[in-house]
Amino acid sequence: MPVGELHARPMRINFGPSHPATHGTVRIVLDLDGEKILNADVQVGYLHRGFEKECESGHYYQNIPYTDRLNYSSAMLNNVGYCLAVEKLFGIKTPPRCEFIRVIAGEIARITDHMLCVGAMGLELAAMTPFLYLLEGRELALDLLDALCGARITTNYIRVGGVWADLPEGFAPFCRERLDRIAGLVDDAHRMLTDNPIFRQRLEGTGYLPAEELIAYGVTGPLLRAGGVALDLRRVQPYLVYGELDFDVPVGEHSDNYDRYLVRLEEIRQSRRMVLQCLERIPDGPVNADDPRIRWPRKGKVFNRMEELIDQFKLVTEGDLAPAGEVYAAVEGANGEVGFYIVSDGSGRPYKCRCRAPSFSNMQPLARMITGRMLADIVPTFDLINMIGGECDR
Amino acid sequence: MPVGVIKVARPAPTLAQRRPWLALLVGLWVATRHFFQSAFLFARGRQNFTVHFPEQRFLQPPAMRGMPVLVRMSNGKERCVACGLCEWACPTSCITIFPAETADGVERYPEVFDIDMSRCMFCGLCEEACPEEAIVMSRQVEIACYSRRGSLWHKEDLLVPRDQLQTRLDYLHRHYDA
Repeated sequence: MPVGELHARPMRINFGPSHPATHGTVRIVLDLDGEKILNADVQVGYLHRGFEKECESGHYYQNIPYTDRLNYSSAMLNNVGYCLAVEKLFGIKTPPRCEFIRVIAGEIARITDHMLCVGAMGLELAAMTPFLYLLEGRELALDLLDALCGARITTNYIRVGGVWADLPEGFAPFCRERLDRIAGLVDDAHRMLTDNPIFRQRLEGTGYLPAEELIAYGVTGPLLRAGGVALDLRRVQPYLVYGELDFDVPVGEHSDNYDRYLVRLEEIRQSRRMVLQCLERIPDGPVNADDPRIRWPRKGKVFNRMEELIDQFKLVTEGDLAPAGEVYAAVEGANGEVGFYIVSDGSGRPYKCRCRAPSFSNMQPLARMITGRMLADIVPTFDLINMIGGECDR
Repeated sequence: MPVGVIKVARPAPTLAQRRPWLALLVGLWVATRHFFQSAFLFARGRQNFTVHFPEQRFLQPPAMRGMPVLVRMSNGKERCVACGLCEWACPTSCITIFPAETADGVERYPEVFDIDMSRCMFCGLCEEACPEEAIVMSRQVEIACYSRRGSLWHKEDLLVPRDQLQTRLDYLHRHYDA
């Protein structure tokens, strides 16, 4: 029934900022005609903490913990992105073992991110059980990160020119065992969700936006790949050792929520493939670049030798003196292209550190996706965009 | 190695689509299997997954980064020589050190060594910067307190005997001296 006949105006309601389904504090102002969305105004910025400004006051190594707090469900990938950008600025090459470790750590982080996204989306569509399985799997993956770097979420593991520590003893069998259990849990969630008629009705055809528009909005990651565009930085501009690995990039064709869900589920499997290959092929050798401009000297030498002690003092207090210049480096994060643009004036601190956050671009088409649709379509659409407040608002 | 592109297979509307109770059965089957797996493990005294905190503790790996503490040597003194490198390295400036001099062989010691745990983010950069192995990340994470003053830890609270930190020190030595 048209609005006029009921002598009622469209109702304006707030969806968020603290709605249970807007994890990550975002506010959507909705004009509703019954349950139909006439107009949507997406407002982000509730989690702004000044990451970029804060980076200007810290040495290059001091900003690595802050990158953990961008996308906190896959912190490792942000670490990798930031360190690759700084390494590009310095023009250094990391040893192969380090690159393999970074890929292993990054792919485990990607698994945790996708599991959280799919699980939380299921939870908000009232599928509680798959959520529990996926979170259990996520905990198993976080155990791996814990063994690797001593922290589950805020990893602070990757260093400029290397990694904090080598793989712990017995990591490969531990990792294989855990990845097998995770694969089993993902399959269970898949059995419960993918074919479920209610679930399919909620996802199929909702949140549709053609690929051209997604590209125009600057969307990257699984959201764009579900639209049929095989843009994956691991494939189109391989960094680290992705060029040597055998994996597939899953793409969808309908560009709706169901394809986004399927793409994410498939990416978990592909990430597992990548980690297993890396564990097979990882070479021995040093994990840190042998570059005294960047890497702090070995502790054994710091304790016993004067030169290394002086080195340590200089590197900690002055920071790594970067050559002046500008660089941009990007990695494929869990939600899309995570890029860092660093301007250096030759001092130990970045003059400017800009973060290209995938969640921010991915949030842009949300209003287009939900306008004209039902109120209930917001939840799966928003969840599969997987906006992470820390990253979107920085 | 060329990277392939695969199209995610959207399952054709299956039998479960036309018979919703079939989907229900599949879901029930998966959930029941999980239930009996957990029940079986529980009956044998092994939890599948849940850890009953605080009666049971999570088994932490050697790499575990808890709160930073100061190492107390066997003579009861701190190992720290108040060089201030951890203060420099700390991204959140949560460490405050006032150095002082002593007639001992080490010559310097921290008169005040405070860590504001409400600002500390357990990143471990202080430990990495320390040239004396005097500040290390312990396995302690249960540091909740009732007031803001309670989250300011002084030197006396932070000192931990060296043998209690052996796991962490062994872990660090593994790749510091390699």
